[in-house]
Amino acid sequence: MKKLILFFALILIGNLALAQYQGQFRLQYGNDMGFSSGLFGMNIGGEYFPVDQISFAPNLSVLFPETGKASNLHLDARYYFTDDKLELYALLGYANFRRRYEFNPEKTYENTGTMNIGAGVLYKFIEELGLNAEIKLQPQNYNEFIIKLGISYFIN
Amino acid sequence: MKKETFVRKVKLIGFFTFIWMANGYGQDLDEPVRTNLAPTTEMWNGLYLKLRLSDKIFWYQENHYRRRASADNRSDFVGRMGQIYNRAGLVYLFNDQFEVTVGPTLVFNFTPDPENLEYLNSTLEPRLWHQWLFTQSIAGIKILHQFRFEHRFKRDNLIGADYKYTDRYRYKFVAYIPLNKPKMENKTLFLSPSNEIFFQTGKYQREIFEDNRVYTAIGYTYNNFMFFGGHMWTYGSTNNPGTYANKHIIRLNVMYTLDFRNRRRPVTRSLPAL
Repeated sequence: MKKLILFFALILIGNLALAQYQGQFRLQYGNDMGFSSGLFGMNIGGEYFPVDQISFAPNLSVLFPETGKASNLHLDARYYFTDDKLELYALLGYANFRRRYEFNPEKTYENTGTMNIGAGVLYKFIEELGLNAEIKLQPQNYNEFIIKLGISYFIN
Repeated sequence: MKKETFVRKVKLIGFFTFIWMANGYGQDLDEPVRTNLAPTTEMWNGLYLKLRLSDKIFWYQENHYRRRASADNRSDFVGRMGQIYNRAGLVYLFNDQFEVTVGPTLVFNFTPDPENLEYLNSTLEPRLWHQWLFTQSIAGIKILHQFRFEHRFKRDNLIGADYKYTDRYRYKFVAYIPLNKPKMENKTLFLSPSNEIFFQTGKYQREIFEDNRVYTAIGYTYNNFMFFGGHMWTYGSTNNPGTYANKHIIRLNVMYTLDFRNRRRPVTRSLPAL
């Protein structure tokens, strides 16, 4: 057990020694898919690091149901474990899912707030661009499980 | 005349008469009826962005605000909302003569009849698009050959209408002719004629020809901006087979280009050694 704690402590120290993100801005575009709802969408967002390793990443998914309209607004905080070419992060946040129906006689509109829990990886293939993969669980939104694939632009 | 020769001639005459009649009757039956609708008018306003992120990679973006004529006045250009059109993509520059762009598009299609409650006010039309652009320069005239492919998920504004998937194939020939300079550069007044032809295929598509657009623009380059606008005439098929529509469209556009390569601040990614 002591060895395990020592191992994680070394990783943490190593990360602290490498990472310096403060003040960075990023833009990202992706496509996401919710496996509970079956909704596919376009996702666009930004990211800002107020302090090293921790970012605020608001993003919006415009979803495409067969009828009606839907969207998912995410306000996420990310914690980055690694730097360099491969960046791994965990995320925690709030999401607001909106759905407008065309045919549902009982309700025409749905608005659900939910928590986001997830993780992701960012692979920087050139200095300015990275590929992003992310998984996310929304427990209050019918246990929605979302997978996103996208691209990130490192502004500075 | 021998009897055999006479019979042969009668047979030949009978055969050609049959062919002629069959052809004639066939034409009567199968002749497609082409109906050309009276022309309508629209106004399209566009913002184009092209940002150079690295030596080889650009960000490309278009945002359009499109109005169309009222239903009861075909010549007022702006009577009804038409579309809000958002297109973006990453461009990879292979060399100065060839680049490829890939990206998403999201179009808001507005109702053709705002008073009719059977129509939704707007529907979304997502697309994936890619473009193969060839550039050449002849005697100071810049010529572009633009091959653009769009994979579209589109639906009607009628409540409950299904999404339909179609593929669209476009080829545009466009020239930039400098009028006050020997070649296209800063502070150049230019003329830009173009023609673009559109084809479409899909499970629900009867007519492969979709549209042809003849556009003549006049423009001016000023530092990072290009201002251009003009008249476009379009002729294309409609949802009713054999019925074709044509439009006169005023287009007003601004293009903004920026090179980010020298604007990136060096990022120190390591703290001083502990």
